[in-house]
Amino acid sequence: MGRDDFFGRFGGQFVPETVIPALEELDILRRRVLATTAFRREYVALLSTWAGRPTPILDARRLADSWGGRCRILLKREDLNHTGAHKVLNALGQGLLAQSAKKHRIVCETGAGQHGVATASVCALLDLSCTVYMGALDIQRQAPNVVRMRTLGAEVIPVESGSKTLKDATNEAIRDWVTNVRTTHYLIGSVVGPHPYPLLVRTFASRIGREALRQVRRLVGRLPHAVIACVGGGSNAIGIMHPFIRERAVDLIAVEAGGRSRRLGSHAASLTAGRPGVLHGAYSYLLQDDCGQVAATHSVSAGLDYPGVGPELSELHEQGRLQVTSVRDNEAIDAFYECTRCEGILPALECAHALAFARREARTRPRGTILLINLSGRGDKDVTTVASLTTKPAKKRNH
Amino acid sequence: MSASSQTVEQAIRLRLESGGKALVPFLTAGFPSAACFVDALRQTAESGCDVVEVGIPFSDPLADGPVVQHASQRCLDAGMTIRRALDLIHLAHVPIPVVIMSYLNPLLAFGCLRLTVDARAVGVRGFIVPDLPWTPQRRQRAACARQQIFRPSEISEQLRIAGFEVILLAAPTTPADRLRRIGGQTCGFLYAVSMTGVTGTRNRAPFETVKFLHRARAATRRPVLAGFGINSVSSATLIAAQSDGVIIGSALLEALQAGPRASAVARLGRFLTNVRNALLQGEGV
Ligand SMILES: Cc1ncc(COP(=O)(O)O)c(C=O)c1O
Repeated sequence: MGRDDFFGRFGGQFVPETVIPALEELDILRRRVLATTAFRREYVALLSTWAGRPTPILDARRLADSWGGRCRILLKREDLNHTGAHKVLNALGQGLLAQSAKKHRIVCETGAGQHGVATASVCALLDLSCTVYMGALDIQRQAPNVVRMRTLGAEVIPVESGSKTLKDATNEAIRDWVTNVRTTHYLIGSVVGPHPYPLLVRTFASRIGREALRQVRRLVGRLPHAVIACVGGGSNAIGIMHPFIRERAVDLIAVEAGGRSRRLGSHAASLTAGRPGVLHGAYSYLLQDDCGQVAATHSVSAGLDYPGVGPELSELHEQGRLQVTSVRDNEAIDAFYECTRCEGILPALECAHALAFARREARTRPRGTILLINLSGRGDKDVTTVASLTTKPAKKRNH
Repeated sequence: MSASSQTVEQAIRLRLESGGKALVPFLTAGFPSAACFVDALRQTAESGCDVVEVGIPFSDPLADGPVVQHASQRCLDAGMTIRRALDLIHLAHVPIPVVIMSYLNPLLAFGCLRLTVDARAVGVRGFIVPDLPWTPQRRQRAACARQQIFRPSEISEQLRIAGFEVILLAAPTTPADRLRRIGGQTCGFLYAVSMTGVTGTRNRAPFETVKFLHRARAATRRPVLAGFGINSVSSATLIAAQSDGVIIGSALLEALQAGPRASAVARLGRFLTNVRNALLQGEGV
């Protein structure tokens, strides 16, 4: 261990000793394999022919009009990825890495089920066995994805402990990994967890930003004024933002789940309302009580319903480079409908949070402002949740 | 005021010198109730245990199986905190060294300085932090000094400086060079995690454990105590024959779980006494 495994004071490897050697191996593998032409060639070929990348950018005119017509709204279409979200970038990358390490069993956690579906699909493609831990509550609210995972041949294990959501699914996935570490790769689904996971996942996810930077330049001839993304663990956010970090003129805005209220337990806004702490192997912003017990969370979106956040985002937040805000359940649902009715795109409830905040920005920013929004996934999985929450669908806006 | 005048290592060495093997029970603070926990803590000393580990409940105990998870959650629901756990330890006033087992986050929230003061005041001798693995201290400190920041990994150094025995863990997956460095840094004893897995699971590869324990003993001058998956007289004797002693946790919580307070503590006492006797007779195995 000759290097630094932190982002400033955040990150680290706060996990049981049993898996430390596996993390060391993964770090070595990451540095040895990722840069090789053979790996890159295979990864890029599969991204193109299997996953459907690059994803386009949509100039969302009708949405822009309905938000006051002053700003230009550019949507990075991660919903068009195979399996329906940005998660496939990371799942495929780590899957190939596990294959090269001769680990034939994959274990992962999932919240919204998008990471689980992506991982199950990659495992089918690469002939790896796949075990997915998912909170019992999430199994209920993201039922279509559970069927997809099982159809793909994955074993989906319901987690009944704690709040029965992503945090508890992650606990169980880590416990499985600790038990079977010699044969199993833990395919973590976001830029969280012990080093080198936050770095590894960001490496794969930041393709979103590299594509977007090129595409936006080509489309509008300049950089966007702001990049907006929702934050659960932070993979889609750091993914689209990473290449823009050094572009100081570009605002980077992270939108967290404001849930029902500002009371601890009723939201999942870790950067907005948390304090640094250790969960799932990393030191980062965390929703916790005064005694350091991890707090319960709530969000209408299963993918954002998580008390922690990636260490790199904590560092960017503390440096002041990242603006942090939050959006409540009902605002996200409104934005979900607006995007659906104006653009003919069902967005995932996760990125509906980013859309909801973009809508606020669009009304206050100067005319001609360009907002780049990460539409991180498709919302087919959410239709029953949304239908059960809205007695009357929002009216189509006329203009 | 310290209840035991011995350090953890002294207590273990004393046992080893008399020809026995060390017996270290683990109890979750406040389980199954505050009063029963205090009785149980006293019972461990009466049953001839050498050191006792007190677990601070945490909402997300990554290294623990269902038994400790449930016990922790139950105690959290009843309002257990580090402060209350220290009060109960004070109240129990046991004549053997007490070691705190806690995940990192509750310790960070409590604050390192306050922790050293309050823990010493009730006679706590050492700490085990399962999600704070050994890291090369020199590198850590250099990085932190350069950036003028505090990182949670420094907590173990601060506890050591304050005079606590910080007990490090080693696992069967730990490679030889790392094992040697952990063995050199640990205080009190080396905690050998006897298998890959969480607490309370059955050991399916005892042969591998034996090999690992040999490696561990060769890598340190401290006593080597094995934990995880030891739940009976027979597994305790088997493992103790290859080490300097055993740590038993989940099986004790299970013994405490049911029935009225007096019978639960009596059950715990019988179990520990049986193991104790086996570990005394076990010499020369
Ligand atoms: C579509 C979509 N967006 C966002 C997220 C949140 O994760 P992250 O913050 O890592 O992008 C999820 C997680 O399940 C998701 O499915």
